[in-house]
Amino acid sequence: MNANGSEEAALVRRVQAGDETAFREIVDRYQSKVFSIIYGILRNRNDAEDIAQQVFAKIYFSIGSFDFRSSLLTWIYKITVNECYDYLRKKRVRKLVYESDFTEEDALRMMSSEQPVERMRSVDTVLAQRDLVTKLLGRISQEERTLILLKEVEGHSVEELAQMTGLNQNTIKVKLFRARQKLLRAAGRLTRRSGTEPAL
Amino acid sequence: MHQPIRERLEQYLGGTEGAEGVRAIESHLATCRRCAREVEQMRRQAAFLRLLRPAGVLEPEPGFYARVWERIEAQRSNSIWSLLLEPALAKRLAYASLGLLVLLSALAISLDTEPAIPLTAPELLIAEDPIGPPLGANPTQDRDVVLVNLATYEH
Repeated sequence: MNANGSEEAALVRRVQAGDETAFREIVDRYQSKVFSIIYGILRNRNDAEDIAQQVFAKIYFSIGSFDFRSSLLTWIYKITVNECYDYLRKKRVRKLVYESDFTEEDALRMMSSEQPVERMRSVDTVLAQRDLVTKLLGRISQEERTLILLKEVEGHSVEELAQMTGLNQNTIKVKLFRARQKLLRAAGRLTRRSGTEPAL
Repeated sequence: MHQPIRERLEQYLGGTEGAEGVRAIESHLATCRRCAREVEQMRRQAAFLRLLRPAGVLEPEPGFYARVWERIEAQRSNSIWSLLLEPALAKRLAYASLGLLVLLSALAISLDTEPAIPLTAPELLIAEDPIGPPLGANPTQDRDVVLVNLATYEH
C-alpha cells in the first residue's frame, strides 16, 4: 500500500472508530467528486445535491463494513453510481431529457449514423444520447456499470482499475468486454423494438 | 471477436496501445470483417459513454456537510423506530407482552383465591373469634378445636 493508501486507510479506521472529524474530512475530500459523478449521469443539480447527501449518509452507516479490498474512491464511486440508478429506478424516469423534443428513436438514429460523435453535438442530440446511454447502462450489472464508467467516463486504465478494485488485469479486461457486449445487445434490442439501425 | 484483438481491445479503444500493437490490430481488422464490425461498434459505444463525463469539477452548494449530517441524524432516529416497527421484532415483542400479561393475571388470580394457610389450621382457630360457631355444626372443626384446647392447656 502506498503513502496515500495508508493515509486513506488510517482515515477510514478513524471513521470506523466513530471519529466524526474524520468523517467530515471524507466528505470534504470527496464531495465534489461525488457531486460531479451524479451530475454527469442525471444532469440535474437538485437531484445531484439530494443523491450526494444520501451517498454520504450511506457511507457513514456502512463504512464499518469497508474491508480495504478496493480503494476508498472505488467504493465511494460504486455507492454513488448505485444510488443514481436506484433513484432512476424508483422514480421510473424513463425520459431524462424533459426539455428536448428528441425521441429515443431520434437518438438511436443519430447514434447509428456514420458521422463521428463529435460532429453530432447539438444540445438536443447530446441530451438524447446521454439519456439513451444512461438507460442502456441500467441494463447491465452494478459491477459492470461501475467498471465501464470508471474506464470510459473517469478515464482510468486497466492497470489502474486492477489496482483500485483488487482484481487482476485479465479479470478486468474480461469483465469490461462482457459489459460492452451486453450494452451492444441491449442497444440492439432497443433498436429492433423501435425499428431503427443498430445504435451502438 | 478473435482472442488477440480482445486482449488488446481496452488499450486500443483507450488509445494507449503502442504503434506496433495498433498495426497488428489494424492488419487483422482489414482481413476479418466480423472483428472489424465489433471493434467499430465498441469504439462508437466508448465515444457515447464518454458523453457522461461532467464538463468540469462541480461543487455542491455551501453548507453541504451540515445537510449531510442532518440527513444522518434523521436516518438514525428513523432507524431506531424502524427497528421497533420491524415486523419480526414487533411480533416477538407482542408475544412477549402477551405472555407477561397472562403470567401476571394468573399470579393476581392465585393471590386472590388461594389463602396461604388452610382455614382449619390451628393457628387460625386460635386467632379466631373466641365465641366461634356452635359445637356440632362441623365435626372436623370441633375436633381441631378440642386438639387446640388440649395443646394449649395450661395449669
